[in-house]
Amino acid sequence: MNAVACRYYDGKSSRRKAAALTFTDAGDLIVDGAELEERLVYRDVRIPNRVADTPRFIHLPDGAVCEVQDNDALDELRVRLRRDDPEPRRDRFWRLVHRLDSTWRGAAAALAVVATVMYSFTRWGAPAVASLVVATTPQEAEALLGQNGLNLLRQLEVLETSALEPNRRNDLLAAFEEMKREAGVEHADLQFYSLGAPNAFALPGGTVVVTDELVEFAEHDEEIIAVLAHELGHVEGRHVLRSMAQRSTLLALWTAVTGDVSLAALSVLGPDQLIAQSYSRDFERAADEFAADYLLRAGVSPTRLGDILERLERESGTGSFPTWLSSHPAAADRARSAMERAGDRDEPGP
Amino acid sequence: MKDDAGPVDPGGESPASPPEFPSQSAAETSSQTRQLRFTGDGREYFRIWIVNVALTLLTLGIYSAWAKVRARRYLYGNVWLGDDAFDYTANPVAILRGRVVLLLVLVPVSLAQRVSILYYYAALLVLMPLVPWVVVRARSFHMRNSRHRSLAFDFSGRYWDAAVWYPLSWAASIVTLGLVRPLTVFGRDRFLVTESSFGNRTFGFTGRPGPYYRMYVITAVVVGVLYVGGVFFVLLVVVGRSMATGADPGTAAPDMGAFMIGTLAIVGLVMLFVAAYLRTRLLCYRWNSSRLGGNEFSLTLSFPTMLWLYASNAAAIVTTFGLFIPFARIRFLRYVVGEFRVLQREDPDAYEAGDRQSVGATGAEAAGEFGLEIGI
Ligand SMILES: [Zn+2]
Repeated sequence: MNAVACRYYDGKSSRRKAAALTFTDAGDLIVDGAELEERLVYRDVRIPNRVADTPRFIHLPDGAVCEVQDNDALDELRVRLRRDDPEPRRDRFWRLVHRLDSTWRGAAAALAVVATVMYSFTRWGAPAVASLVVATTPQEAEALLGQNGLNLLRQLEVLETSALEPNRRNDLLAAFEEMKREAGVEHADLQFYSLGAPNAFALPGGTVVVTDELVEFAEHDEEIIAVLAHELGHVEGRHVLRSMAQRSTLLALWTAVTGDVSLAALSVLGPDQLIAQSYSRDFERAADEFAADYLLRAGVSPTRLGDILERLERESGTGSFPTWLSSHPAAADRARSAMERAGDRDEPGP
Repeated sequence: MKDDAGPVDPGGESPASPPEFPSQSAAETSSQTRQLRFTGDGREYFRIWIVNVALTLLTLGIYSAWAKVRARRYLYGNVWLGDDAFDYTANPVAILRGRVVLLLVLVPVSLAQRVSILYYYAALLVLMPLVPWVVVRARSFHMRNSRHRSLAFDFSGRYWDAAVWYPLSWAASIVTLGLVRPLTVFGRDRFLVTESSFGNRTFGFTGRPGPYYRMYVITAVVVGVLYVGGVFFVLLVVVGRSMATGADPGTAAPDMGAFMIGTLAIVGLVMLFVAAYLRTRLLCYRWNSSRLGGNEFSLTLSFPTMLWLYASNAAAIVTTFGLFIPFARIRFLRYVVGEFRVLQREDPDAYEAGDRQSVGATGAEAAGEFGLEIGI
């Protein structure tokens, strides 16, 4: 077979004519057929690359179009007639792409590449980008973010005005100020609210919220100090902002890849929780270390943090969750590592 | 009429109401109703998609323009009217150029946002006059690169018309609290359709504002009910329960997390409804009101089917970390394209090339072309 069936359009109307095309030794394209007035010869024709088995429309220099549906015959004809000519690099590239995306082996290789790149980016790329974002975000902008969050929680009456005794509150505030000075953290402030459950958390911008219930739950003031030190660790590392930046960096990457924000958002919705939790474990570890360092310097046993966390966990019954599912490493783990830390310090220390 | 060239973009804009065929159609004997066929295959498209993603990542995004053309060529090449498939001819270099320009504009704007919110709004204001230009360029790029039977579609909308139906009508909608929104969407659709052409024939539009008002009123009522009911549910059930179980000291307020998830769920439901109802009806109405010479179009999509398609696709995309995206697109197109009918009263051989095409659009003009492709 030396010619491939095609449909010829003259470029001026939608009328199509049955024809056949072939190539000369010089690579010129010839279109001929009973329905054509004359045999047509075209020089420098670019054959579009093949996409699965969709028809290929060859756009000819004079505006005419040749449609070929038998892709295999066209490829075979080109290979056969080109023989001595080196295949242009562009054609070779597209032949490779077609080989990749027409076989499952090629698709599996592509999938492996995508998985590797996405994993590396999640593990190292996004945190690096987030560090840059965090470093360039003005403190005021971050504070505004935290303020908005706090206002929302107050409006929804999730957080209600604290009923803590002023004396107790002032003692804790003084301890917090002392802690800030000692650890060299500037932008941080402590606020008390009632939430209905023992809790403490840091907001972007440096506001640390401690609930009345937590203050009452603590069996020793040093436990509260330990929790405050932990939260100050989050403030010092700007962890909330960092976590937001890391996750939106991933979303941005996936948007660029899928070319569609809503599809990208859906795609990261699933892994987002896993990723957020893996990031948050890193943050918790960092905050624990920050707290342990401070507590040792302040002459408080770092096991205080583990103690209160363990009791909280027992109370709320989340202790049975495997570590990787919970946003905080299991309290027992943390208590243990705090203990090891204390041991390490004790031996070589002065 | 985002994609007159047949393939209907998943997530394309949309319109709605019963098709009103003139009664003469029954009398016409030479007329023939033909259905579009979609022959794309999910597995085949998945392979193309994943190779595209891999090459895009490996080339730091440069390949994305070629990826886009390859994916589109696959989809277009699998949409058939009779035994003729569609052809997508965009030059990837033009698309890449368009994306670079877009990046050069958007990066400074987002940097301005980091400096001060005031600069950000100022930058947006400065960019506003560019919106109509982008709309017109993007649409004509898209249309000129869509072909059927060797003839290109085209879009000849002008800057000031686009300015009326995009930024100015947004402003009007805001000022009137949305009351004129249906009217402006009607106007926009008429603008998009009547400035479109295939070969030397221009599309006509027979739509009226009434149906737009009906669609928007129904949407407003349902969305309102979803919001009120949803907020109630979130506050009482989600936040309430998470508070009762308590939590340990954490990075951020855990109750905030529950609240956000609840809010997201409401937003998700609303988006689902808007996509399955409003956008679908708008799309159908726009096509049912379009004419090309003596040809008419008919597109009827069922709300339950669209709801199921959107919901199941979204769920599958979430649970597969996005790997379902190509399958979702194929499922969607198989239904939507398959429901599309053309009432053909004209000889399909009788179309002639438009001015621009017969002059030879591929040469110098294309060299300076930006492939802007943004859906607004
Ligand atoms: Zn923590």
